[in-house]
Amino acid sequence: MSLELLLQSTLSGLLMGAMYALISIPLAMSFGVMRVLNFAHGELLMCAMYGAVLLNKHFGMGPYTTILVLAPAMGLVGFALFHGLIKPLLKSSMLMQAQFTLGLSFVIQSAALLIFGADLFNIRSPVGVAVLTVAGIAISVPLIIGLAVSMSICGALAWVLLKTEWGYRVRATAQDPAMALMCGIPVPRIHAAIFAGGTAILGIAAGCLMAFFHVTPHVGVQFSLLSLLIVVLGGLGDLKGTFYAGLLIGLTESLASALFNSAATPAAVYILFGVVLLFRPKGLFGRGSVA
Amino acid sequence: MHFHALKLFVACAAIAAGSFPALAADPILVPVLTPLTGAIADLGQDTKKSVAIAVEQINAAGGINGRPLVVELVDTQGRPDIARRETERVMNTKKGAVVLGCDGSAGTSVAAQVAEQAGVVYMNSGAVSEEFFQRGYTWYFSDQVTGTDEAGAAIGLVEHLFRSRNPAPRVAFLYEDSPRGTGTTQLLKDMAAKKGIPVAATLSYNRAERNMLPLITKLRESGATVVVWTNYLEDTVAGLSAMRDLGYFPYVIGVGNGAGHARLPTLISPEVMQKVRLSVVDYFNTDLPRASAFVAAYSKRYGVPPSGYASLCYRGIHTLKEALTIASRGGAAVTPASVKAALMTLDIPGDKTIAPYRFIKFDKTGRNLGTQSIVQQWRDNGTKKVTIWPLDVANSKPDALP
Repeated sequence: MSLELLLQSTLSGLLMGAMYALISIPLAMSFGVMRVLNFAHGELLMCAMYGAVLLNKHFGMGPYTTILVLAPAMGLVGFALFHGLIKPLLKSSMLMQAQFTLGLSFVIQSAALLIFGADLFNIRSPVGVAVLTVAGIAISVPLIIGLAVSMSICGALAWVLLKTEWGYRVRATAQDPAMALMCGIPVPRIHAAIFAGGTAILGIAAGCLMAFFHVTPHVGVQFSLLSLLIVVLGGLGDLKGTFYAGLLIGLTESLASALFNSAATPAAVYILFGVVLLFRPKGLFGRGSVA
Repeated sequence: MHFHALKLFVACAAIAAGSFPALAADPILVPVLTPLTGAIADLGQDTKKSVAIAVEQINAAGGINGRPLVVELVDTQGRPDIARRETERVMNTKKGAVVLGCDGSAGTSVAAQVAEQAGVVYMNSGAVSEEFFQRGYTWYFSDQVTGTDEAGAAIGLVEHLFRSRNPAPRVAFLYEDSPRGTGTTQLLKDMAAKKGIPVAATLSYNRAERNMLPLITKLRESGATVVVWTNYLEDTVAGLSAMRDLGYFPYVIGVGNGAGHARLPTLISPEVMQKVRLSVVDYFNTDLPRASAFVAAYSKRYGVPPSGYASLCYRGIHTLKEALTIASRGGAAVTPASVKAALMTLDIPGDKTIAPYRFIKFDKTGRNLGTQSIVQQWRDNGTKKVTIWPLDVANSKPDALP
């Protein structure tokens, strides 16, 4: 492997990994606080991606501008979804939650197919094709923006959770919801805010993704599987672990693609996944749940 | 009273004897197996659109010997397990004489097997795999091109481009690691070796791959100036975007529906398509005069010209219509044996099909002997595709190598 190929793969892998982290963070949040593993996570992202396409088509909005509409809209969707479907599931077994959210993912997928057909959609914009070339290495501008957004959101989340009173309440809810309730923390409201906030982050991720990626009714499943992989690798419920696991998966995918010829990429990712969990069953930093 | 009783008796006797002739208005049912959902749902959704037009046209023209043609779309999701289950369900519940498949090779592989076991004609209009002809099936027919046709067209064009170039340019094969991509690329490699065409690299990737930059960087490092790429739409868009980002613009010849998809110019800058002289091996060309009625009907109804996928089952339904017309002549019952016998006698001239075929005529293995693949090239900022190969059917010259 040439140095150029190595650098190109490393850089694009890390940048892609930051996007993966941004997509996976909401899943880690909802599991960390509510112990809900949402298998329809990717489909919610897919809905936001279709939303970006519609906003672009009907109002000429660029991918990043759509975030201004998508984030609050997805927040509302998340809020409604939480009260309508997720809240009744909170006391159910994890298997039932998985079955239910899997079913939800199929419903969303079928609805997307009925509404949009199987066609592939993307958003073409000047920023989407912008590239910085440094010493022969191409760095996609949308990926750099994705990294900046991902780091900003993860940083902001960490600050809120660690430095604010509201963050203390969230952490207390995550640790022991019954005790938190007895201490006067409005646990149901915290749950709703976390789910709605996480879904709003998916709106942000969708805007960033649509600058360089595409959407089909099948894309949700791919991102659901990817997010689950990252969240488990990072340690269930561990936000810091999720961020680094996203980077690691992006890097592994990219290097496997550069090093090996072919189908090795998914295999390499799962080998890494197996090896890490063998030695770190609670995720990269050993802080996740083993539930 | 006695007359009515006699009629009832005759009817019951005829039904009991199993020889009751079909009523003139009895519909003829053809189940159509296609992936309406799943990873290759664009094939099924385009099929759905074109089948609707084909059936309307056939029935408006009097149906099949006066009997209306009815199709039932059956979703295989492009998955072998679902294809098996759905084909078995159709065989058990519909008791039809023939099924039409507009599916990928994976679904077709098991559906054709189920049809063979049930003794029902399976007409393939979608899969290009050669392997089905080697199974010794007696009920399998295919009016679709094969991987050999596609590889022959691609290598023919490469050879033409290489002519009088010194030193010889370098060709690379790029493919998604599906059975389709792997099989076609093996045929391409074999043909290239026979023709003495130097191969710089053979690279594959997984469908799940989202970051194509490392792969295209590898391709660039191989020094390839011509890339023969077996692809679908998603990877075509991602790969061309990576080429644009890297400023690497080889001559790209696509095999498969990706590079020729009608919506491609709306998904990737036409400038990039022009820079890589994007060409595509295809089995359908909207410019063919013989396809004009279909193209006009499809464009009018759906607002876009038909894709290659859309042409498949439209062609397949019309092929079956010819066979069913022969099989049901004189009010005869349509059975698998009569449909098979009719298919064996078919000889449809090329200009009576929408495909660029010489003719449709089946040999003993069910292979259509008149298939022909063509190569088209995008022109005028992605507004049209012109046929550039083979030269005898081309309506434009291929762009020269840079």
